[in-house]
Amino acid sequence: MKIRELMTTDVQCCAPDASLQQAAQIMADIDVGIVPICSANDRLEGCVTDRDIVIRAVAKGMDVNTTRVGECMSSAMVSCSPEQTAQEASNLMADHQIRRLPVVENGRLVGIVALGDLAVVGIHENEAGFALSEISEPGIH
Amino acid sequence: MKVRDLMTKDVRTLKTNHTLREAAELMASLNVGVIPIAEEGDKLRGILTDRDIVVRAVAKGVDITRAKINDYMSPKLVSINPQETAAEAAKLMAEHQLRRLPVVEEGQMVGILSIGDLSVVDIHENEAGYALGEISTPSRPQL
Repeated sequence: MKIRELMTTDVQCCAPDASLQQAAQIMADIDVGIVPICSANDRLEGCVTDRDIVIRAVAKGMDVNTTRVGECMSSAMVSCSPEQTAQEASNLMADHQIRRLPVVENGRLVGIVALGDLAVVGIHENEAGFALSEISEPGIH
Repeated sequence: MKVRDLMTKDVRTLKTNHTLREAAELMASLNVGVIPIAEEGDKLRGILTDRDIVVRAVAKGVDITRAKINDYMSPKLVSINPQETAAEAAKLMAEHQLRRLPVVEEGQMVGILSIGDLSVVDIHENEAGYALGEISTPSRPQL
């Protein structure tokens, strides 16, 4: 099955000059941990995760109301095309240890696909390489 | 196997009057996403996650250099006794959808048990109820 049929097309994203507070608000409102950052015409610039906000901004004492999300995002990011298969997306998620992939077509963000979306084609969390992902460094808490 | 044999001891904690910035700094330096909050004598008071900081504080635009952990942590929390079994711990994690449990003995925090610690006794993440736990609304197959 193609990613186009599995992805969520109604994606909330942020402009790079939005504040961290605004990105965090989206995370809180729709219960997600990652927000795509898009410039004009839905061009994907990067993504910011809840963890990025904590490690790159809060830990450094930055003002969350004035710091722009563009300063904390990860710009080198993995994405997939809507024409790719569920299996390919699953491999990408496993390789990069991520649970959500932005879906990009001609440079524009057209959707997002989550690991859970792949369950309909029989790909489950452990099979995508996640089963033991949290025990890579036992003893560190 | 008992929780005592599987848990991590010597866990770093913070106090309720530390700031969110200090909590974030510790999360960054230890590369963790959760910090137990304890008072004198290691009495466990709550737990603070990176997600708590984002959803409860950053989303509301609070000054994270002044905001105290006390106002943003989860005070009522699930914990386990070190004498319990690994299976009991897995059951608790699944029930409450947690990946980490503080280990408490007579009110004192003595360690932390993460879902990965259970893998040595063949309890893996999906079996503890997490297989699709992070997916808010799993799609249903059309049969």
